[in-house]
Amino acid sequence: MKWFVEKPASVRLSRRALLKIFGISIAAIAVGAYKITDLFAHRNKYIKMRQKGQYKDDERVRKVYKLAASHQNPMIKRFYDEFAIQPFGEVSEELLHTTYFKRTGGF
Amino acid sequence: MSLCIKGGEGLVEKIRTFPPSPVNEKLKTYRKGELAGIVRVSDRCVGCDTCRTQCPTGAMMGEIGTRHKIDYDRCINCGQCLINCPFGAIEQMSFLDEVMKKLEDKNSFVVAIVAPAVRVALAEEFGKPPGTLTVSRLHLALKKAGFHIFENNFAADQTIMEEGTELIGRIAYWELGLKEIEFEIKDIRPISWVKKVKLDLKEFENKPLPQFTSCCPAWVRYAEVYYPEILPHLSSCKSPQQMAGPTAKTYGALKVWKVNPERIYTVGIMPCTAKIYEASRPEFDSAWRWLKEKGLVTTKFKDVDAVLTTRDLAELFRRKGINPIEFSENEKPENFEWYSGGGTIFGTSGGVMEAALRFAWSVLSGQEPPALSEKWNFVKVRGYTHPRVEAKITIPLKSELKKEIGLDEVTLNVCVVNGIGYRGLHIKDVLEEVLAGTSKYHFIEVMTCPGGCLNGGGQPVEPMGTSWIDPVLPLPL
Ligand code: SF4
Ligand code: SF4
Ligand code: SF4
Repeated sequence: MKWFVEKPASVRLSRRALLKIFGISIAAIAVGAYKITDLFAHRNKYIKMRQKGQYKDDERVRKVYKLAASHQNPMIKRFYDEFAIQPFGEVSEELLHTTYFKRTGGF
Repeated sequence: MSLCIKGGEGLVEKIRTFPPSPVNEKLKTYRKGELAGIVRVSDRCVGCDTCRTQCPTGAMMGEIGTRHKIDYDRCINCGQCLINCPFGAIEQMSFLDEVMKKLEDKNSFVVAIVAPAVRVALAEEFGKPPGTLTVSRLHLALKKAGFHIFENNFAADQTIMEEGTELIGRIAYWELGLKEIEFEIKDIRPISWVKKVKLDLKEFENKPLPQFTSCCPAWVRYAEVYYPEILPHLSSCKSPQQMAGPTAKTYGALKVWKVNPERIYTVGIMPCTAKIYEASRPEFDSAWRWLKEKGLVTTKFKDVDAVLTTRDLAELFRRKGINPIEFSENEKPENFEWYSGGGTIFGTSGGVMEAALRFAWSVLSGQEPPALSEKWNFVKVRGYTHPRVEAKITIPLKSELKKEIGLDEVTLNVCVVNGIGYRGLHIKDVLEEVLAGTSKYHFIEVMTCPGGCLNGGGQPVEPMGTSWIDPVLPLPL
């Protein structure tokens, strides 16, 4: 999982650099350095847990309400029947679609 | 060691906020009225440089040991710096006070547009582990606080209807050389429902392949600032939040809730800091334009009036003494609370792609398997922890389309960019290939945040409070 293993800040930070930065207690610095190293390893874990939750919700609405795909949503059917008529119809073009802008920053 | 600063009862970090205000700089990449400086570095920065290594654009600047600074012209407001700062030194712009006031105002009909990823992270602010689902209890808690519900997952389903149709249109025009196409969107349960779609493909002349997703406002801004030539490739679909706002103020106001559209105040509740910026884009007043044309309103208003992050919402609940965990998780949805599995997986990397594939596959093949069937799962496109995923998806065509198109099946080449990466690391090749005309893909999903919105810049900051070394607090050891 190369993705998250950016070089931990603690590797790049020498203890001296840290001292220079903080000028507070060495103990506090040690805690801070531990924290930074830990950050990315930990990040993987909570992202995975949230991902599980998201797919659990997918399974839940499929199991309880039998809704796997967007066009099966009863309120979507109502929205197009009563109001928007069809995707890419006039109402959709006015309310649901947009355009983009070139932004020149000079970089 | 319990050294953490408690957000609520949870062990998440408390992020400082500041009220919306313009930045004191002349900016080149923002238009009039757009909010810049959604996140800012405070003087509590110790110069550890972690944020800079997480920044997708190079907007975060500074040397080790010096206070870092954001170049707002380069910044895309993703908030990755904020959630990764080990010292809680980055602050977020917050509309919380304004929203609290609106909730007290009896004349306002306050609508919460709740994003997919909020439901898998909010509980962390109330002492539960990451991934704990809060759906109907979140709705009930929001209602208790005075909101009406508009599921952004419903808007995600709208997005798929529009964006999936757009993809079919682009492929029909560019790959199959058709001038128009007709197809049916069908569902057989609980009763047969058919939507006939007819597309005049002339307008697709300006919509080339591959098509990129457009639901991540930080990615849209990235394209606008760094790769403007790519813009015709972006889906013309607004993001779910920006579909939800105008739908609530038109269809919702007139046909569902039956209230005066001018009373509706829409609040995006998002895992995301870029959504705060997105809502401020000047073209996002489409409901007002639409209603004005029909003589129904006069005073100008935005499609989305305010945006709260997941953290802001937790703070709102705390201020009101509401604990969402305590409500029932078994309430049946009504109106805009309905959503599909495809809608909810928008919160995770690969989710928009999978939802679009569920739609396109069903429409093109004519198949409608039971909801729990494996056939709806396109596991190959899930981002999980891969920076980039690609897949080939072959869809057999139903007989009407076989005749119309003259092919037995179509094969879609798709790609999922899971986090733009440090200075565009995960996306640069993909974009360069498209610009060189050598891209093999039909459809590309881009999420700025690694893992998708569930790891967005507005989410609870895990783990173990990172602001241990906080000058305003006594040192822990
Ligand atoms: S991560 Fe936080 S403390 Fe470290 S340089 Fe960035 S803003 Fe400063
Ligand atoms: S990480 Fe995102 S929000 Fe932070 S400076 Fe970079 S682009 Fe801006
Ligand atoms: S990936 Fe999601 S949370 Fe991150 S910037 Fe994009 S929309 Fe916001």
